Amino acid sequence: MRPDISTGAMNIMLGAFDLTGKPAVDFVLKDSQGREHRLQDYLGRWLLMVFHRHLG
Amino acid sequence: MQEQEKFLEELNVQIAVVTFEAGFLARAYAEDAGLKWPLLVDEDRFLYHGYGMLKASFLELVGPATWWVYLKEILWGKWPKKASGDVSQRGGDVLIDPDGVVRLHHIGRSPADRPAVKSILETVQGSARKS
Repeated sequence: MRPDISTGAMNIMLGAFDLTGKPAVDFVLKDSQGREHRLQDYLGRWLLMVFHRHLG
Repeated sequence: MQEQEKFLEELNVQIAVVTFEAGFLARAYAEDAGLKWPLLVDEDRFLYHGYGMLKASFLELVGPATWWVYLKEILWGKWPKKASGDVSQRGGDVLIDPDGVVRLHHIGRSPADRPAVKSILETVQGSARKS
């Protein structure tokens, strides 16, 4: 479920910046209201994940 | 993005915004921005790291692309706020199809480096035509 801590660094070292065509990274995250969201909840629909740099 | 929401909804695209900042800051941002989509908190950044969104280099942070973003904000009459928090964390966009496969993976190189909504729509529409 939880990717290894070095997954991102390893992806970059291997030149695998682009995960297009690969399975999405699984996740269980809470939203700002404390509700839990899982990748599984979104299967069956397209999901666009917008990663913010910083909110401040 | 919010203007294109109608088109994205028609194409059955759900949007989720991800931040690494938690607690009050995340709640305040969601309220202030009037965010219609869930704001997922990835405090440990495992999803950021899983998608290769690591730290930006110093040159990327202070380079022309960053200054251009701030200049545009000023020209639009919006004075940029002083950045707080971890300003070196990269952002990006990931489009996942209904089967859980990544169809678009973009790591932002600067604050303005985002895929055009048009390319997102084309990816979804193109896939729908094939199936």
